[in-house]
Amino acid sequence: MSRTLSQDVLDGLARIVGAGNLSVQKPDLLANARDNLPAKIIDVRDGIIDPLPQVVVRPGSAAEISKVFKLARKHVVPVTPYAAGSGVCGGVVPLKGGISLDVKRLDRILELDGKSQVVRVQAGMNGEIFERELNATGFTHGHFPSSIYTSTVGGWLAARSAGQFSSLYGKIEDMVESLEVVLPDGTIVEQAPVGGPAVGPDWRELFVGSEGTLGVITAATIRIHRFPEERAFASYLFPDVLSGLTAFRELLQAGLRPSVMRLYDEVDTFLGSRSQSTEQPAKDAPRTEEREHGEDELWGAFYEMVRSSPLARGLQMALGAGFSAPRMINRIAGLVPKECKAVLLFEGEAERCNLERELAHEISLKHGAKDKGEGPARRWLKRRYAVSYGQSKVFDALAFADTMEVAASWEKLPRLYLNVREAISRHALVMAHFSHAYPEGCSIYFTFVGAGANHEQSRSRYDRLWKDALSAALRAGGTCTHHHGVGMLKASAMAEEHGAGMRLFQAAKDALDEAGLANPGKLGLRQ
Amino acid sequence: MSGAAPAKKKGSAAGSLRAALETGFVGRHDRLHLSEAGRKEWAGRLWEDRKPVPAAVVSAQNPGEVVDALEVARQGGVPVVMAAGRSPASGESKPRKSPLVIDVSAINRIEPVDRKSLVVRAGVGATLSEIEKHLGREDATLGIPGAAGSELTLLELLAHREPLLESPRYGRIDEALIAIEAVLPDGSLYTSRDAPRSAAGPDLKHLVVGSACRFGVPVSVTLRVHHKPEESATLGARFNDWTSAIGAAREVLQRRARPAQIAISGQSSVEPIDAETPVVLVLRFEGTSRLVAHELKIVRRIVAESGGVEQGESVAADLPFRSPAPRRFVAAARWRDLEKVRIAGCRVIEEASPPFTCRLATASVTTALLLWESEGANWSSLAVAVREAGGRILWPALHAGDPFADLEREMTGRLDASGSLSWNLPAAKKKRAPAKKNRAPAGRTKKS
Repeated sequence: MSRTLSQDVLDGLARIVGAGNLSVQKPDLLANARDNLPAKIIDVRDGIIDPLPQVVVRPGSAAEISKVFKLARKHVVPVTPYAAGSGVCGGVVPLKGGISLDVKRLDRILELDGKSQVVRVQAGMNGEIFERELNATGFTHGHFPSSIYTSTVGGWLAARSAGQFSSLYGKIEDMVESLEVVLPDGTIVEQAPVGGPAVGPDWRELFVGSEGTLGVITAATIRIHRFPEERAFASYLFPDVLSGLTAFRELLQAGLRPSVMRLYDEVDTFLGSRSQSTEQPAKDAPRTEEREHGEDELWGAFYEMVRSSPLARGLQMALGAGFSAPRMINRIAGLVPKECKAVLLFEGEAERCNLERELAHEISLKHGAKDKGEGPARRWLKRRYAVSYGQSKVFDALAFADTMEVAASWEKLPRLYLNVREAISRHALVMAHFSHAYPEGCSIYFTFVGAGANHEQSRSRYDRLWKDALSAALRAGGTCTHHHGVGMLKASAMAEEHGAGMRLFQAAKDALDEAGLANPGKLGLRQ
Repeated sequence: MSGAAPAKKKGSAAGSLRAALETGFVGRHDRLHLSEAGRKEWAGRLWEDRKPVPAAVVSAQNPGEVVDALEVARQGGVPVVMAAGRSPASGESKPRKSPLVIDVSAINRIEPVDRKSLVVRAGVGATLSEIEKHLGREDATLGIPGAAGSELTLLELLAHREPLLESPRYGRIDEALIAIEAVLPDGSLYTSRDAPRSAAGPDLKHLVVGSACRFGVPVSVTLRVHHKPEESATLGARFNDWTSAIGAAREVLQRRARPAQIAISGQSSVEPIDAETPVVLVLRFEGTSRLVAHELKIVRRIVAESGGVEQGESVAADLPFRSPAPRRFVAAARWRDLEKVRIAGCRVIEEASPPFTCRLATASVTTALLLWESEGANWSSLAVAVREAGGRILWPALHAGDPFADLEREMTGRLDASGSLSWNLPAAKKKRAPAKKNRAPAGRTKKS
């Protein structure tokens, strides 16, 4: 495949999207060349910036995307979709160059049917703006990933995203009623918007999570909800992970639906309680010791701990020495107090919230929880989008920080937790929390920080960690990803994840994109 | 099968198939029904007109035998009809050639409930009523209205779609599907993971569901179950018109009261209702006693605010689930369009062949399903009226207008080259010129 595009192609693209919506400038190519995949951050720190797209195009409609696909097909040019770039699996990395198809101009609500509580929205709409516009009409979409400020509806759908309030509102696949998709040959298809499939497979389930390998999602009809009248908060300290998980399982299976359920393991509880933002505290910020970390703040917390606390000075030395003994570091981390923090939120009508909180309280106490009042849950809500800049410093220190989210049935969950934690602990300091719980199972969100003596060693350790962790997750009967998607990071795990099922996926890929031009190299598909 | 026998070249295809089966099922001939009498009996079980007579019938006892039988059919180029007892998974379609019938009714084992994850694994030969009975012994339930009395097998449910098997509280039957084991058309066994959710690409098990076995033959499934409810309560409310009843139903669901069942029935005329024939909203709530009490309290408030008058529990008789049948029509409509769709549908039927009945059969936060029963309605006029009013007919289900029909055709071509499982794929309406290498689904194509 040519590394440069012919002038014909560039002219053709300019005619479709307008010259102002096309760029071959290096800063634009760099901006669209990656997402937040830590491996790419390590590479960039090491001066490796390839691969780049040859052109960034920003179409303004499904019709323009259709034309772009047709042109790309004619000239055999790969097309990699791009939106806000908040993914962490390299799904938008243009592995074979070509066109980076940036959909952020598709950024409008097309129709709001408040009576039926559905909204038709374009794929490039920013999540936070979408929520704000719905709030102005008395509704909420209920989907709050920690990346909400830097992610789009299309990105959520492409990677099967989950928001922090998923216990009540579901994952994105539970919310979507129908899709508009531009297929790799340029055909625009839209599912019947009412009533789901009457005949044949549910094609939504094929396109949601396909990460641009089968075409580009351009609009979706999504279920919305009345803005909650009330929120109720509860926080507990459980004696250990298992008792906390048992309480979570029982309350879901009793029919309770908290909007948020988060249980932190011992290390995460310890570090979380010591989290300090690197930002200047706001005037009304709670006292340092009362702060709660946001979902993405743990590496910041870790960095700060390394920097400031007496206990952590040893860790800092180990970090400086290339984190040569991750097992030892995990053993030290294992000395933290054996208690696990849980935060619960309920929302909706006041009476219902309070009743559910009361019932959840009874179940929690039955399993040995200490009531910590509303404070920790309230503080978690306040800081739930707080993103730490500590991550950047961690990478500067030749280290890496990343997260892995897996899921399993309740029966398999303890084994999944232990196996994956053990696999990661061979390479990095690891902690975890449990969120996104369902009556039949739960997801686990591992956070880890590791390092090497130099970028090369750091990258090599990072790659081995992922290989071991993915393998451990699958061997334990879990899924290798709950809501971050696959991209290039987990592509090698797809064959084991789906077994013979990959033949179905490959058949769809071959039927729609035999030339393999739609987001090539992703999701373990054969090209 | 370890080295399935190739079909013999001599004689009829049916004869060759039988010979190949005899070779391939050595030591397992009790699985085969090859005699003419036996095959005719099976034709009578499966089809009202007793045609076509199968070339052979295999009663598979396990997934491996489904694989073996499929291999023989594939090699002989014989169409396969999957069946569980009396129900062919191919639905109304029939093959032109005498098929191999693979009966999976013996793959009907229901395993003990996984009490921790609250799921149950069952073979696809099991019926919903058998599963519900089994669950009842373990203090669990599927929660699907009508399941206890339904003789539908899991194979039928997974091969097609049953629009009315839906509960506002427990969801649709396909939403209860946690994992699937299926034999793919090439004979490989696909076992999906039983994690509650995954982001590892598409959810591939949902390609098998509804595909009439063209993408694979389900052999067992893991379903979400629920604790048997501690409390159950039914509330009926009388309204003077459909609009108020619909408004109350919508309010109940959108305020998250989550009834296990919901229905509205009443006089079906489009004319104003008289006092003798009110519209009745019926709701059933299940769960822990405190949650049920709370939900009843909310609903009573909504009923009063909507001008309804509460009735006793006797109205529960209006709740039974009814499986769609030839003279029944099911349409989906958003709440916004529901009254319009109901009136449009009722008008068409009323003009053609009164009497008829119309009821709201189930609903979700966004959508409600209407069920019409009529002896002489013109289905196509009803479909047009419903569509023009903003709704959509779900039963009878038609492939016509399915934007993904071409994709399905392309995929089956790749997965099932012999056509053994995909003989019942609806033909393309008109042949489109192939666009370079790929042909893409027609869908709702917008000019670009």
